Amino acid sequence: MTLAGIPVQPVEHPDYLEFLQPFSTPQIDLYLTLQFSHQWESLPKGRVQFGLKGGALRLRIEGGEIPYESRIMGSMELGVPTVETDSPTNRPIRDRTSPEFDLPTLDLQGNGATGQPSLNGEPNHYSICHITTKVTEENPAWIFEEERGQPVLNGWLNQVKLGTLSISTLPCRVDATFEVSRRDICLTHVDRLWSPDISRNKRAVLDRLIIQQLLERKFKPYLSRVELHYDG
Amino acid sequence: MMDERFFTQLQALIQNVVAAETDNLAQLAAMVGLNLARDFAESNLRDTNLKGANLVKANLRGTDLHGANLMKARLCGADLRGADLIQANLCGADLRQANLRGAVLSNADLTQANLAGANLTDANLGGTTLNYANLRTVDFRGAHLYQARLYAANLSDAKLRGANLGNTDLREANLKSAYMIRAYLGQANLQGADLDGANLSESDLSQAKLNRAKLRNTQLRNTDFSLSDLSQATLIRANASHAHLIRANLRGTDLIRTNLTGADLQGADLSLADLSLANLYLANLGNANLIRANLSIAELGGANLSRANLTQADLRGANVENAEFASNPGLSEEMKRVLKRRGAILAEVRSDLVGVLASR
Repeated sequence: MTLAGIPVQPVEHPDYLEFLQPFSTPQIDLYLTLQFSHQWESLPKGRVQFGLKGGALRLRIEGGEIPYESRIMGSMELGVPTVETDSPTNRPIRDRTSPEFDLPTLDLQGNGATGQPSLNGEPNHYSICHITTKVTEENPAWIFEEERGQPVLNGWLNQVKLGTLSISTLPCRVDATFEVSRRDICLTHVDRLWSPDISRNKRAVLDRLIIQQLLERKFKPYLSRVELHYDG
Repeated sequence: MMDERFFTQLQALIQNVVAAETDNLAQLAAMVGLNLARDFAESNLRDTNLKGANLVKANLRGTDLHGANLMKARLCGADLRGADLIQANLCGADLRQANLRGAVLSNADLTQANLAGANLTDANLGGTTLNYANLRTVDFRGAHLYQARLYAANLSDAKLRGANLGNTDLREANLKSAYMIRAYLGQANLQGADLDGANLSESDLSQAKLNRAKLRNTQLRNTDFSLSDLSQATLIRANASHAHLIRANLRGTDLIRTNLTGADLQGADLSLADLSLANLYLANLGNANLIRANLSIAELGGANLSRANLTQADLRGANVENAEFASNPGLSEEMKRVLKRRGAILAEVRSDLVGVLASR
């Protein structure tokens, strides 16, 4: 996940509107890049593949706010990556960012992930991601969900405008975390661990066991985190 | 860090489940240190077999139970908020006091299930089967029950404020004292249902079937019964003031002592209806069919009876002061004189004024 900020340029008024001041507080458009992909996780006698059905992006903001009306919502088609599928940190995002920002890019696969992205060889089923905002939470939050009934999300959200940050005091700080809950994790393939005709009850217990023991801990307390600073 | 031992142990647990002879989900879960009632919230239990499972007070919040077999499962007090129960089999399940807020139960089968005291606010029950279910005191506020099947279900004291019950099958259902303000019941089938003491004020029952229904002492203020069938229904002492009964079928309906103040009964069929002691003050009965209706001792003060068919209607002892009569089939000249003497306004309607009077 990467989050980039681009200061909004004041609108130039014609001479006869000179008396109008541009907005008094600086504004910054926030652009989000996010990759969803499958991953394999190895065990002594086999391996499991998993992906994400969705997740929640939460922003904690100091010294500013993102007005509700500027926040992105709706359905978006995820792009299928054309580059070699190594880490998303290789994506050329920084050239779009303002020099005032410190923009660490973090691996969506999370800290300590042992598997490899496995888009290679996988059918390129693009997903539709439905994005909603949560108004009940104190801080801005976006919920990402698979919309077309596919098991997991697969593909890129590339530099999607998330919203416009209005800065009230300096320094302004944005702490973004992408959080994944148990229901967002889905095992998509299993290799050599059990036969495909295993009973539904056994499969449900095995899914729960693997997600709890092997995967949930990878995503706590969050899957990916980005911090932005703006000092004026 | 996860070491080799961890992976070996996990592999062993997987092998135990794969090789297990039982297919009981609770037992399989216990084999790997999981508790079915505690550790499966937000999990995928889609299409699993949980028939008769003990899930009392289980935490199944947000769990995917789509198509699961939960027949006769014990889910008393379970937390099923936001759970996916689409097409689940919950026949005979014990869901007393369960929290199903925001759960999706579309096309699930809950025949004979016990949901007494359950919370189903904002739940989606579109097309759900709830025949013979115990739904006493269930909170359905804001729930979606469109096309649900609730034949002979017990909904007494249920909270249905603002619920969508359009096109539901509520035949022979028990809705005694149910709280149904502003509920939508358009085209619902309530034949033979018991709604005694229920509050249906401002509800929409247009085109609903209510024949033989019991509506004694029911609150029906501003309720919309347009084009509904209330034939043979009982509305004794009901408060239907300002109700909309335009072209409703009230044939043979028992409306004794019913409060119909300001009600709109234009074009309604009230033939053979018993309106004795009913309060029809300022009601609009224009074009109504009152053949052989009993209006004895009824309050008709200020009511509009223009073009109402009064053939063999019984108006003995009725207060007709300022009631308007005009072009009434079945009204003899002698009767007209009697009505005029009792303070009624009698006028012949000119053909060019018919529309004006009918639209009152």
